[in-house]
Amino acid sequence: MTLEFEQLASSMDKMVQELSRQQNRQKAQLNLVLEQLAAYAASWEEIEEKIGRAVVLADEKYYRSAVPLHHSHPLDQGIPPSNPPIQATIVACDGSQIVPDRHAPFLYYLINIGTIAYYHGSGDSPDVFTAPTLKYPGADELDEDDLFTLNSALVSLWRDRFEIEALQDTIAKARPHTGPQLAILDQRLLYWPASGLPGREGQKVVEAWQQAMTGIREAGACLAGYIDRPGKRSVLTMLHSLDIDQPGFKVSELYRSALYAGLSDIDLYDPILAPGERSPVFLDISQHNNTFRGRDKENEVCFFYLRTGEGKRQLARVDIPMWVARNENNVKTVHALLYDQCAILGSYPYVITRADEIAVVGRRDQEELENRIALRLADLGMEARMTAKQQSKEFARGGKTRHEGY
Amino acid sequence: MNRQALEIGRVLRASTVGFSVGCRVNQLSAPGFGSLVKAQPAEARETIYGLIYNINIDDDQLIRRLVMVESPRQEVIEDQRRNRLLPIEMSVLSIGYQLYDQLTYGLPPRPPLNLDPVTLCQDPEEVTRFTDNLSYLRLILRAAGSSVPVDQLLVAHINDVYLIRGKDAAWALSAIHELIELLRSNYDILIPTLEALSEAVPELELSV
Repeated sequence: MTLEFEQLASSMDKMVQELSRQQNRQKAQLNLVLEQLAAYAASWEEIEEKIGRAVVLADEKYYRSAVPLHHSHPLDQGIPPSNPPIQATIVACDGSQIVPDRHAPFLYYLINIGTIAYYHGSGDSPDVFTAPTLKYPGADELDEDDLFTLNSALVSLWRDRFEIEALQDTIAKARPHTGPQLAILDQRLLYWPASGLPGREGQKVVEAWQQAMTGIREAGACLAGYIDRPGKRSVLTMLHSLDIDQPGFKVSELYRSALYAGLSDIDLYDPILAPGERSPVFLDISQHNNTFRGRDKENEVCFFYLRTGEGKRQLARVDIPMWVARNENNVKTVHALLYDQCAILGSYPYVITRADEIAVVGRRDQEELENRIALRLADLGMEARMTAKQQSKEFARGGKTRHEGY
Repeated sequence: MNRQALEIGRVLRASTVGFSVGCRVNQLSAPGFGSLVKAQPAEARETIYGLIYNINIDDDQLIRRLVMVESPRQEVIEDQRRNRLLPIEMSVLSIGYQLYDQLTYGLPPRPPLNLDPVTLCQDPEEVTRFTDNLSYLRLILRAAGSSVPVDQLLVAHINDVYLIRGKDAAWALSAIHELIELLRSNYDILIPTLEALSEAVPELELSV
């Protein structure tokens, strides 16, 4: 059915007016936080003292802030990249899935993990690996880790776990090379399942996640999580928290999104960072990071912002664990290699693009998989059918053909 | 001399008049425009001979981004060539077929099937046997007016076979005489073909 745009005209007008008002509020708010950043740019002890008090006052569940990790670089200045090492091994991975569908001919789900080991400075072809996992009712029922599920959120959870475990495995089996090793994930390092997921399964995945982080550290590699166009506001919250001694300050105000007028940390650093520059490293302050630290203090997550390209808001957040963040040479290496990778394609790391491409399971792959299963079933004298609901959708969405005449 | 058959790819799609072959980058070093190839099924079906008349190398969005970079890294170039599954596609014009030991210079009764292996004909004995009878030249000329660059294809093919047959000038000249006979009322193809041949194979001393 074609969208009837006339019915939406009035809503679109109101939306555009509200967006315009929001932009004006944001500009005003941004000027205020930039002034705050400049005022506290090198006030390390004062920031630590005030944030320390804010943490005590705040509800740990909702308070998400940051403190600068190093006291060597002003907060309102960018740090240019160093030259990358002559040689390095960069491993990236990504995952995709086919979720269970009651209307499909068969009940199954598939997780596909793609990994690439890129040998920077070698001139050699990277190594690529894929690891597909097919699960269906009845498979390995005795192993409670392998129980089939119809819950697509759970499938996503397991995909995340398989990703970081594949990263750890690939670091171990990448070709021996000189230079540092860097493992990159295409998501946040401070992994926490979305709310609403089965608690026990979520906890198992978080535990496995942290074990993999530890494994990567023990292999001697650096680890980073790369987040494109992040929405984090921890540095903004830090800046607002520095008003703790102002009259009328309420820590509960810091949990309200209205305070930020739609801004995030990258709006703060957008006018500050030149292409290739990064922000100082911050320690993430949050309940989840407290949990990470409690299990293994080396896994406590820090982050910095990196301008990857010349366009507006072309910034990424790079999460790094404490064992990387604490060592300025490691940070320089991560910064230099990531920016070098972004330069290959323009503004996004080449290895992550390739890992995504290797992992992706497209519609044609899915059709091919289901055809092959159907053929095998046919060999056994069985038939597979989709539900009438799915069949009618396929009819309605099917393509049109034209009578060609003579 | 018996040269081992060199597989250059597999059939992607086919019709009665020709077929397309998909290959990887590292299979591209041997076959070229004008090369004689054959689709060689494993089971008892016709072996179909043809000439490569087009080699296509596609791009995609990622390649288009990478070409804009000033100096692509060697690792990236190697990744594109060895790991990414973008096949090189060769178009082949059918010019004959063989069933058991019988060679026929006509369009095959059935095209090859998807994924039938395609090999390059390099064995002088096999090439000589196929090209001794010049009837297949009619099938090449039949493609005139289509997307097949017939004049250039003839030049490349005759030069290629001339060399594989050990610089067999007698064969090359008989092929040229056959072309003159077949194209006597089509100077638009004949003259450029003869001029190109005289440049490509000067030792034949053709005077056009």
